[in-house]
Amino acid sequence: MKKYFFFILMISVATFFSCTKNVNVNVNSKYTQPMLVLNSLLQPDSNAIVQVSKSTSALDGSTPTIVVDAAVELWEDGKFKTNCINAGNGFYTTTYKPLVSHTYTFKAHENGMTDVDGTTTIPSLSMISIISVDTTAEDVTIQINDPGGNEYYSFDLTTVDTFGYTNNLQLYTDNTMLLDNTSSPAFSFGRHGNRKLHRIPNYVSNQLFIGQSNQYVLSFNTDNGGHVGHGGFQPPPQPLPIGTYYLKVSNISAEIYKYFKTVDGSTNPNPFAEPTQIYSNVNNGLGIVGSRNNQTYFILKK
Amino acid sequence: MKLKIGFFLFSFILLFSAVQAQTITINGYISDSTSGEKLIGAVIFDNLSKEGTTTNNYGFFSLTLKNDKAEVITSYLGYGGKLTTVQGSGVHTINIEMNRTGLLKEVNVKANRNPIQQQSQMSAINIPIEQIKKVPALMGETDVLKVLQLLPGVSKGSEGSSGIYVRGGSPDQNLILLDGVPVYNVNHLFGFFSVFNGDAINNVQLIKGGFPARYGGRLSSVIDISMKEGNKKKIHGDGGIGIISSRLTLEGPIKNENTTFLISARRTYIDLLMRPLTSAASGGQGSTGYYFYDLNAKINHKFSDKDRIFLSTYLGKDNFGLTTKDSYGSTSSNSSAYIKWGNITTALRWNHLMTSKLFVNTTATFSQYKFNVGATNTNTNGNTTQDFSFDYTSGIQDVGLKTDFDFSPVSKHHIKWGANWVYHTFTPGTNALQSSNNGSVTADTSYGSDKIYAHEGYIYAEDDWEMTKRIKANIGLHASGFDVQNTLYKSLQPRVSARYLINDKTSVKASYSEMTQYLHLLSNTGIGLPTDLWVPATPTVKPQQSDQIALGIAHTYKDDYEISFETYYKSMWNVIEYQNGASFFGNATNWQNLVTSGTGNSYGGELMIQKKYGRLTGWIGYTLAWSNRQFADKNNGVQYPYKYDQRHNIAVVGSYELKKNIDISGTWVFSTGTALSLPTQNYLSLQQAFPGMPAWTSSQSTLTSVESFQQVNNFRMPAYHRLDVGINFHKHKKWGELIYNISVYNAYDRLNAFFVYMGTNDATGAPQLKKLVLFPILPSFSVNFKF
Repeated sequence: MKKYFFFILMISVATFFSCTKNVNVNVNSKYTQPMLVLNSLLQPDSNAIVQVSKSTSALDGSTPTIVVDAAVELWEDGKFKTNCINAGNGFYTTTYKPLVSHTYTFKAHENGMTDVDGTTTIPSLSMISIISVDTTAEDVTIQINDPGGNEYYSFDLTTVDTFGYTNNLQLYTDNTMLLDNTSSPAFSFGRHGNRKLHRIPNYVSNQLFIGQSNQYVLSFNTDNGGHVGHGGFQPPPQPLPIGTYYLKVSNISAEIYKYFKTVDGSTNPNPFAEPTQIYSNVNNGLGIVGSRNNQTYFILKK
Repeated sequence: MKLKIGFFLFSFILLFSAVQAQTITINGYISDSTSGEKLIGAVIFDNLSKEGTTTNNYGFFSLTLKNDKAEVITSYLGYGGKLTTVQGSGVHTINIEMNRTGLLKEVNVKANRNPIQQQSQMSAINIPIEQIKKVPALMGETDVLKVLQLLPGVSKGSEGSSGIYVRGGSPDQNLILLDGVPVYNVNHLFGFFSVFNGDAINNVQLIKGGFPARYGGRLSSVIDISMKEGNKKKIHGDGGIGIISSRLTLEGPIKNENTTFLISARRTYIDLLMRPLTSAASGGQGSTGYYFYDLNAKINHKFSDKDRIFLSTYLGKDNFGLTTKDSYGSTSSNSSAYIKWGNITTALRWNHLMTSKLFVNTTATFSQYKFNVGATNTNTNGNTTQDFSFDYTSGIQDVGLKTDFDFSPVSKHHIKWGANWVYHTFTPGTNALQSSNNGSVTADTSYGSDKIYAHEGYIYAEDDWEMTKRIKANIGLHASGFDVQNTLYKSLQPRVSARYLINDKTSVKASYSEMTQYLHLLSNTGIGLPTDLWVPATPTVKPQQSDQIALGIAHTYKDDYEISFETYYKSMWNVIEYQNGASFFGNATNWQNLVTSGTGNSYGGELMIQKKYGRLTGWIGYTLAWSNRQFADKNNGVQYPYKYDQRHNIAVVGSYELKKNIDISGTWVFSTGTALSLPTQNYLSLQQAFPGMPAWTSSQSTLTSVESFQQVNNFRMPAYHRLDVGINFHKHKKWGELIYNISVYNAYDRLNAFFVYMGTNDATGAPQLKKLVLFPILPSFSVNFKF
């Protein structure tokens, strides 16, 4: 019987040390042909602008390039509005400022490439108001009167440091309605007193509070710095310094929301996460043509 | 609805009237003469009236004829036929014991077998366990599910996986029953082996379409596995020593034939090999281990000719563990991680013969699946100690009761009806997290989804009705309901499967079935990892539904070859998947917010040529198939190929008895590569064009470019093909039999991909797609014994 055990042991060892090999795989070139890319963020108070660039194959390690000689048109509500002029660095712009609730389309042509176009509708502002600011607890209470339908919001908390640089800060909440249907990363919560706080993604859909008028407490600091970090180490509490903070609450178009959500999914380091296709609303091409409408509030911490 | 119920009642009255006019009823059990094991699906045929029936799942039959005499011939694959003459009107109970001849010898009543063209059921395949054991297996481990993967209409998952994808369906759409109890996770070793130990199994049946009304709750298939009951004649043992595991089965009578037992156990010893090797490789700073075990046990007792009780159970567990330790100066770190999962199923069954024609089976069932993953970490720096632990648990538990009636009033009708109730408890993922600093708790929280409780029930009735000599149909109705979170879902599902006999050798068949499934399996990988999460239909996540139509032709050639060709079209609704980027792990929000629901369809054709008798046995199967999915928020709402959409699937399986004590076997498979999504385009991001705008999280605000794919499942893995060969040497000993098995998996060393990933070119350093090959040529050796 001993010889059988020895034989089995030898084969087992050989088995577990010989079972991985890497072999190159060829990919059909139709998946890697360069495409035109449009990136635009239209705002009612700014000139219409779009960046035109070319994609590259993700398989050859080359860098995407901007397009400097494209022909770009702006259309409004299905009618030609104006040509865009080259503003350098791949940007094409006009002096025209888009209007709320109107629909805009950028159309781009580049020799040797397939024509592309992307469309967005400028969102109207929802009724959002600051109810109270508790600078001691570093909380701000806002009220959102959601108009119903598919609405998307973004939150952007910034401050300007002593060197004049704008820094983005993270917002937290204990109200899970604002968590949307997001894939909140593991351990993305901290504590504020007895409140269990979740990190708010900067983009939120109204699907959990559709048509409702609610107040939400947003916290821009947490006792433990917001993270129970990987490996269990926690940074010490870091109270925010005295200064001026800007809370920008925006209505954004669905395209912007979907784009950032899918970018988040595609960069998710979780090995079990579903592969994510980055959202694009550019026909025959890639990129995003989206829009937003902002309200900014000043919060002074004394 | 009322009309349908009226029709069934009317049919019953007619049948009861007909019964009164009959003169002879023959019933009883058919079993193996050496072990007493019941034979499922054995044929009982009256040579005078040319009418017959088959035994049910418990080996019981009842045949009523308009004669006062019958010449009963019984036949079963691998057994010699037996002729029994019965005379005189009334009820005759005959328990028939049949002698095994092996597949090699031709049975002398070949013509009276239950050939494929005679059966009203279509899209169903029975594989004898003896044939399953002959198929060469990965590392010599007999695997029922891997043999099912070789049948037309069934796709496997990734390389080496026990995943079953039937006619474009997903693994959760298979109702896998072990002695009538659903088994929720059928995988050991991350899917490389199934939980079913071949030594404990008596019979396996796969149904892909035309589902009889007695089955429900899944969309795509029924895999009905019956455990052995235990040898009635003597204590008998089976066992084997293989490369990664050993197993032992004992069965026999307790005191007398009325009570028998079976116990079968299997355990791997990968951990015994790996722990010292990995510890040595890490310089004593860590080790890795893995093992699985399973245990099947069954006891049954015959109280009288009318009453039998069976208690059967299955326990199985997988355990993967990893430990590391590190120290430098006054600092040290100790970590451990674990993944554990396992099933428990139990069935308490009571067979009762109410009348000579009415058989009742009542079963109480319990089924549980648990998955647990976690990690602990302790860091010490001088006098400071920080502890951290994380634990994730998910699972499902069922308690159920069902009763099935089996009624054979006349030879032309075989009626079944019954009811089933199950109480489900779902644990769809809870996370527990703790951390402390010098014993002072800094975080102690749990989050995730709450448990969900649900009641599921169904009633059914079906009649296998021989309308004329040429036309036979199985007609039934399945009505089910699901009560969850104050919402009641109801479903009425008609089923029909019929054959028209063109001549003695050939028939055409057709079937239609509607199915409803109240459970969903959330899977990130689709390869049957234990992380897959069973969740119920809820008020927001609707039950899955399907309808399937199939047409086919069946033919027996020269009594030895069964040939079938079937085409099918299946539509599915409310199938769910994780949303883009979502996963089971680490979510603070409810799982219902992470899924998206959509539709699917699949269609194709399947050819099977099977030889069941003679020195050479086996089959050739070919499938041409398409399978698609469509979700509003995936692939821009456009339909895309399902991950396991495989255009061509070929399997050639054969075993040949070279000599009395030597048999050889081989399997060759070919399949189109599975689909997957790979980023193929790299382009500038919106963030770089408009700096300062917030991204989803702050870390993404500085991304200058992003990578994406234009279509979900835009890429195909390379085609898969493989040849396995095996040889068995049988050596008879005084105490029993020794069987030496040598098999070679992937005999011509095809480098099949387990998965494809983005790596770098070894020469240029540029990005390069690569494939990971898990199993090159893999020889194995095992010693099996019987006594």
